[in-house]
Amino acid sequence: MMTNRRGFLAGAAGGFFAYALRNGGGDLFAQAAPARAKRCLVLWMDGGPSQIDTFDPKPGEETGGDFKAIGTAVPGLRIGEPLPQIARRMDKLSVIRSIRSSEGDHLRGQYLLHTGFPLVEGFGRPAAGAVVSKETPEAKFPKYVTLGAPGFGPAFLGPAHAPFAIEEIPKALATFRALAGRRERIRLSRELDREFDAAHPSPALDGRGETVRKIEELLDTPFVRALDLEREPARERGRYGPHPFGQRCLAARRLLEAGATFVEVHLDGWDTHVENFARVGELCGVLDGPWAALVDDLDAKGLLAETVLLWMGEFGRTPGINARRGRDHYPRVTCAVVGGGGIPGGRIVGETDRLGTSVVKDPVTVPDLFATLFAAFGIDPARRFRTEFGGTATLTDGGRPIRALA
Amino acid sequence: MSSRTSVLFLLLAAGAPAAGQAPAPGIDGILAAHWKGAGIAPAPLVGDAEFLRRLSLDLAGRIPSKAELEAFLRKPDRAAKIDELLASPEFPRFWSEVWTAWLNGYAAAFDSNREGLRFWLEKEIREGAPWDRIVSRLVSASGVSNVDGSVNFILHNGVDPAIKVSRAFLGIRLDCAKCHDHPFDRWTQKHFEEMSRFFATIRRENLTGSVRVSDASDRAGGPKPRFLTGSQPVTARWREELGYFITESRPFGRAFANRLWYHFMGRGIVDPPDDFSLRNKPSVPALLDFLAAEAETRAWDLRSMARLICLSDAYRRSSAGAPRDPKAEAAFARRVLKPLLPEQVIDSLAVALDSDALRQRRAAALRGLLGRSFGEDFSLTWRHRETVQDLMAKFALDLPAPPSASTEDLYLRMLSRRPTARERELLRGRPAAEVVSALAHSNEFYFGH
Repeated sequence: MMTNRRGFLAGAAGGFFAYALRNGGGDLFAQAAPARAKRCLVLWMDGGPSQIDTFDPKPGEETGGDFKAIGTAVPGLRIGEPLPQIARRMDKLSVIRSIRSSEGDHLRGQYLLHTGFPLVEGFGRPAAGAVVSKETPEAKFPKYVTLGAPGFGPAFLGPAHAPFAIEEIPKALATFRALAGRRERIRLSRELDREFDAAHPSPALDGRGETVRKIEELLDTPFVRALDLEREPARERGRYGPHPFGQRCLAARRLLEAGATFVEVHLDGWDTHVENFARVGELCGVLDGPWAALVDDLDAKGLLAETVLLWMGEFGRTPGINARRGRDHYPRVTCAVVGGGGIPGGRIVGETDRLGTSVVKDPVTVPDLFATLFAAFGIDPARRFRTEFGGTATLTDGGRPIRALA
Repeated sequence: MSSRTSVLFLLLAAGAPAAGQAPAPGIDGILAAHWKGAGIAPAPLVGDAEFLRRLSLDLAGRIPSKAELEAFLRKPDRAAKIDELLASPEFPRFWSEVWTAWLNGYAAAFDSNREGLRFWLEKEIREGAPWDRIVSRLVSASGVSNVDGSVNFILHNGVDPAIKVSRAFLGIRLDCAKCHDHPFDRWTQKHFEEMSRFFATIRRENLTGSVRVSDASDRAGGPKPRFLTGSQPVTARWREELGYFITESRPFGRAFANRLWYHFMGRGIVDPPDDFSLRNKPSVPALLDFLAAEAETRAWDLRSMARLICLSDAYRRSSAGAPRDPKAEAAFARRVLKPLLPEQVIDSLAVALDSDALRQRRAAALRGLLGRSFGEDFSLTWRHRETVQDLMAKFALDLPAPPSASTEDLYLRMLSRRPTARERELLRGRPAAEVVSALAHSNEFYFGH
């Protein structure tokens, strides 16, 4: 039932051939290189991060705002001054400055940037994390984890691929510990159910039995230990800082090491309609250190080569600065940063005009971004799934992997 | 009118059976004939205790207390019990929750007031408002979200109201038709666009902590909306006319009857219950026709329909039996299991453990049970949608201290029956708290059966 990376590459078949054709024969070799990604870490900037103040600076222009641009590890690539530590690591990360989106509402934008599809009531699409969870080898614990937010659901891929949402790490840890002390009761429930279950053969009971079994398994896995940040040496913890976002980043790293395949870490507060520059400055201060620590740690442990790092939010923000020194929603120019997992760093995809009001080179769609992510895992972006009501759904909305990142 | 539209018109507008026909044979007569034709042997009827458990869950949203159980077993008057529960304040309370989950889901909303909608529905149901009136008001509601509860349906489903309205009140899915003609049904993109026009006059104004919905008559320009039957409004009050078109259409009665049946039986005659389509036919067509006609005759009265269904033998078919028999389940010859709704879990625990503490922290306990990852409408399908995390939340829920009680007493409280010899043996010597916890997490407690 599961078509994993290996099956897809070995089987090649229609999907891959069609995929190569659509991309032009010239891309065939680039795409056929062995997929390297085994994990993904998304740094989600909730509210919509300002691209001009971070990764598409317009210093000296009327839209440029308060921040200067600074040089990075990559000649010719300049980014906003509030991210000095990430600047020194841009050889590991590439900037996509040319995503064009059309969703300027928070919920709809979040939905689009989590699933790659516009929100349609009654036809749910799986979040990228659910797709990766489904398409990578099974594990004894949830492979799609969100830290700091509920995340988006698995839709027709089913509850087994729902995000394990951890809003507060200490609370989650406390729940695990409480459950560990209740194992005997859980076992007793199962024992008492035996007659009822035998008299009521049903998929619903099978499903619940399977979920209980997973919980019992989960309690013994490295997943729980990964959340216990006290186990991390104090000096290492310190590098991620005291802010909850930093602690989430540390937990994310530990979860990825333990075998989670898709972890999403949230940093809220980017909806900077008011006092954009003060707030972006603060947020970048929270973001820069832990992000840099993540890049360093994953690299040092040899995990960066197989872990896609993706920084994004639901949309970009207006180049124009409003009367309250804020920037408003601006999906027309949305920015993302990506690297690791075989995706090269140090590149710049796309370009905006002098003021940053529109994309003037190499426009990229949101589905293209998702196709790039899936292709890194060796998952065919044109793969079709059967939905629970019998229809079919493709993995991306016509997305094609971004050539400049091949 | 194009030929396609006129066929549609006939399909949608053909009325209930003409007056003067022989009286319909009723739920059990129709099912008996269906089973005979299909060679299906019905499951036996359940006993009084199991009936009462079902009925209490379906009408009051909770299991019966031990005292209620004992009283009913002494005097098992089913009709009287049905009337008693229908008259209790628990009935409108629980059904307002069922309808709210159906209309607005469970997800947190930015601008609509879910509790406002629920409160409004509770009042309507308490006062015996007929379903056609409720639906007309929901479709045409205007006012301020924190004051006028009914407006929160249209607010919550504001992106594509035509899709939700069609699904919820007609059982018709226009979802696909939003972007292209429906691949295997009759609905085209034009149908979607013309239905959507009904909502084009809606104006939203953000007030402090609230939203005002009104209709701007100046937006009633452009192409006129058209209902799926082909009807078009004659005034500028498009939404009010839509309410009329909906409640006068044939799919309305069928969708209502099917929804009720689904809630009582755990499976729709058309299933999923909001997907009437050429590809998804009713499992017992005569039963759907009968119930839809009854709903209209009974003037869309929820209590009257509940009484009709709960008094039938069909409602008392057992869910037990191995191996599984999907054919019998689809024909309602054997009942299907349905996971309790989160509200039912909490309220049943509160009754079983006689716990005011649990009642007082009901909202928080509900949030815990709902799980964070599923903002979806649980009631849309009884199919099991529990994630690892959802179930962990249930296991981790701290139950109030049980009343000091014997295993036998706890079984009567929680499972409405006495323990078997094997169960007594398994539980011998265990403290009450452990027995309560084990029973609360058992499938027998957690599923309606």
